This record gives sequence, C-alpha cells and structure tokens, in this order.
Amino acid sequence: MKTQYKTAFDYIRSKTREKCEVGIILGTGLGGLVKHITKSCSIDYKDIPNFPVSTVESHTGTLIFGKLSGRNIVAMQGRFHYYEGYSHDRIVFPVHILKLLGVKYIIVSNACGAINPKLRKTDLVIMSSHINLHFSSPLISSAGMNGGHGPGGISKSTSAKKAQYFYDKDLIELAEQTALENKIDIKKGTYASVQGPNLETKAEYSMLKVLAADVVGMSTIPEVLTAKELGIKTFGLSIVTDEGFPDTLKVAELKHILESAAIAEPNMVLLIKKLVSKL
Amino acid sequence: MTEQRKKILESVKEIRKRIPVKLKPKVALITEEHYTLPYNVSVLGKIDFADIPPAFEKNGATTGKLYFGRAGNRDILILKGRFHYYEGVSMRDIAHPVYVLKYLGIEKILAIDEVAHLNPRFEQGELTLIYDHINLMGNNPLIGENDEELGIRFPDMSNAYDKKLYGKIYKVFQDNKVKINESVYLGIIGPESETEAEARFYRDIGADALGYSLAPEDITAVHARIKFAAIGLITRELSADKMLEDKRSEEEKIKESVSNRKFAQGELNKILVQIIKSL
Repeated sequence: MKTQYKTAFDYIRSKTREKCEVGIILGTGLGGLVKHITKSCSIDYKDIPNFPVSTVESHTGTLIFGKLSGRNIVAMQGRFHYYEGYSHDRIVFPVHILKLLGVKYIIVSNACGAINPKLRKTDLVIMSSHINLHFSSPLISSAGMNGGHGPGGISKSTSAKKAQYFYDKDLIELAEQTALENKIDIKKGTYASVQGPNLETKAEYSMLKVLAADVVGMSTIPEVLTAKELGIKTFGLSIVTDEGFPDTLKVAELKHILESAAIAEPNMVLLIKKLVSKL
Repeated sequence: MTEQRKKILESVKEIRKRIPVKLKPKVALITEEHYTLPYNVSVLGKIDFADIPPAFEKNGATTGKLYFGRAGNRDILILKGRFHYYEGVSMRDIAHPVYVLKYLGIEKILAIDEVAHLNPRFEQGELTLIYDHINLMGNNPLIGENDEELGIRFPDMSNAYDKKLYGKIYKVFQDNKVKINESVYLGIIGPESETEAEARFYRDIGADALGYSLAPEDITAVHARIKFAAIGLITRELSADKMLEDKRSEEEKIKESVSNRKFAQGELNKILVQIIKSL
C-alpha cells in the first residue's frame, strides 16, 4: 500500500470504524442525495492527510459515512477535476481510499451536456460506455511533463488495461429494471469526457456527435478507470443539465445547469436508493 | 493576487512606460514574426519581447516585437511574433500576452495564422475567415487555478469567434471582391505534418482548416472577454487522396508553402487596414 493512501486511511479509521460496501461519488448539483443518508460520521477533505481539496464553488468537499436503504455507504460530496490542475493520479486518490474502506460497488454521478438530439435537459442517462478525451489517464504510472498533463512513464499492467466493460453489465440491467419498476424514465448512452473548463464550441459539439458520444462532461472517466483497476464494480449515472445542439446552441450558465440538476434530482435519488437496496 | 496576474501586471507596467501617450488602442493584431505589415500601417514605436518582463523574455523560441501603430484612423497594437506550444512553451505562457493586451485596454483582437486546408473547395494561397474551432491540442490555458479577476471558471464558447466582427470582416472581403473561405479551424499541436489517415480523421470531424496557434489564443480571449476574429493564410493543402500521389520533395513542399503564404499575405495586406478600420 502506498504510504500516502495509508496515512489518509489511518486518519479516517481514527474517526470511524464503519465498514462500507458502497461508495457514491456525487457530481455538480447532485449533493441532495446526502439528505437521505442516515449519517454516522462526516469528515472534511481538508482534514484528511494527503487528500486533495476541491476548488470548485459548486462542490463542497466532505466524506460522508452512514446508511442508505439499510446499507453501509460512504459518499463523496465533491470531486476533483482535471481542469482544476490536478493530475489524474490526484483525481483518483479518493477511489483508492474507497477501496481500502472495503467498497465493492461505486456509483458515480455527473452533470452533462446532451449531444444525442433525443436527449433533453433533466434526462437521466445510464453510462454504458465512454470516450476519454482527456489526453491522459490515471493508469499512466508516473506524472509526465506539464505537471502531470502529458505523456509520462510506463503504463502499469492492470485489469483495467484489458477491460472491455468498465460499466458493470449486471448493475446496468439492475438499474434499468429498478427504473421500470419505479416508473422512472431513463436513457442509456456513451459519455465523452473533455478537459474543460471552457465549454465546447459548436464545432466541438458537432465533432462529438460524429464520434457517437451521447453526452459530454468533464469528469468521471478517471474514477471509473481506477475503480476497474481496483476490481470495484461501477455504475455511472449522468444527468443532462444542458443541451449541446450546434444549431440551437445557447449560452450555458452555471445557474441554469444547477436548476436542471435540481429538477432531475428526485428521480436520481429514488433510483440510487432503490438500486443500493438491491445490491 | 495570483502569481499569474502579478506577471501580467508586471508586463503591462513595462509596456505602459514605453507606449506613446497619445495612443489609445482598442484593437490588436497578432501575427507571426515573419509577417510583413502593409505599407499603410504606420509604426510609431516598438519593444522587443525580450525587453518585456517576465513571461515574454524567457521564451527563447520567439524573438518577436510589440508594435504601436496606426492603421487608417485607428490606433493599434501589434504582437508581431507569438508563442507556439510545439516550441515547448506552456499554455499559460502562450496565454500571457493576450491577458496583457486586455490590461492595456484592448477590446478586439484580429489574429492571423497560417493554415493547411482540409476542405477541398479551398485553394492554396487563398484566405479563410474562421467562425469556430475544435481544440485537439490535448491541453488549454485555463486548466489549473482560475483567477476570477481574469475571467470566469467555465467560459461559454458559443461566440468564440465574435459573430459581429466576423460579419464586418466578411463585408470588407465582399466589397473588395476578394474570395473568402469560411472555416471551422482545428487546433493541433504540430509541429510534424499530418499523415494521410489524420487528414481523413480531421476532415471527418468537421474541420475545414488546421493550424498550431489560434486555439489557445482564442480560448484566452474568450476568458478575458475580448472579442476575437481570425483569418487564415492557406499555405498548404491537406487532401488525403492527393497525399498518396504527392511526389514533391520536402524542400519543394516548403518552398511552395512559403510562396503560398506570401501570395495570401499580399492579398490580405491590400485590405488589412480596411478590415482593422471596420472592427
């Protein structure tokens, strides 16, 4: 075990002995799930040794332990993005900690823009695949040029390297079944992750359509790659918060993105609660 | 104050000392160092990049100059020489001069770049007006800490090439009966020329022309709320089908692209002052 993980893990263990089965990573504007967790302990990222600290206003940085649908879970309220200047190694630091905490399943969520014209604001989209446009990966072993933004050392031999399915097929099926039972409208698609922080140009949205992406965001893929490497089963859920249709592109504002996330949140919360109870 | 802004203000202070007092430029032109300015642009003063601390001087790769001048009735600043990513200059250093322009009171930028055309309807030696871009440089100047004084965290890119400026430049071309090609510009890092497979890929994702300079300058301008317009000098053709039959030597290709550049530059210089006046 890398010492930096161990120091962080030991600190968390000094605060709580809770065993966790499920890890939940909450994206932009989706922190509302927290209200449904019966909290036993919460720890600020800034208090955990070696833990990165979120710099984005809409993300608070707290690790929350407790029960959701009767299961022991740990939720990350606030995540780390490539555009903040973190290397992929830093972005996925918490995923390594989740593994040490005993997590077997990870549910990742994010806010995204629609590329597929069938999708609309506030739609829920199950991530079935992804396109990594970060020009980097957490599986590159050592940080390279540009402070980690660039090609680096030799790649590790990992399960993720050989993986065909990053998004667990059984979990997807279970989620679809759960959505049907609870009359939640749900879509499925490919998530493309770009570096950001600037939003995409019309030409870039058109390109993403040619590449067959259904939605686009700026996060999640590094965490998913690492979860796979560590043998954690992953389920990804995107909430469409803006529409990236080149012909009718409007100025995107963070305020509207958060509004859309708020509208979609009840369904997301319901789906995750029901899904967790079935794991 | 962030280190980034300190550096910017340091450069601004030095330039302010040397700028002729009567000049109040609102428009800036960015060109390559070897660009020959038209005779009707009068240069009233200049500073070597090497004499502008701090970020201008450390890039040995560029030995450009900052000109103060007049074009018609308009005061202008001209960055004659720019920093390229392929020279090993960081994205933040490429962005630096654009922020400096902002603090010098510049509201509009016209950038001129040399491009290869992917659109088969274009011809070498012609000019292209750029209305949008795709950034495939695998990096951008906004990654990292964001200084809210310089611009917002998530800039919208739906008007990355200002529509009004575009319309005004377009009209000058029409009034002078000069052919104008309208382009989606693809930003890639270079400096190697593109393979046949890459040429197909770039065309398929919707690019009409490609170059190595504009994308980070444009993103920075959008961040700094400067209106941005760009014109490409078409120096070479990138047609996958023709590349297979291209029997020219490297020397011949370079010679031809230089003569194309000179021709396109001559055409642009006939109307450049009119364009600047129209902005």
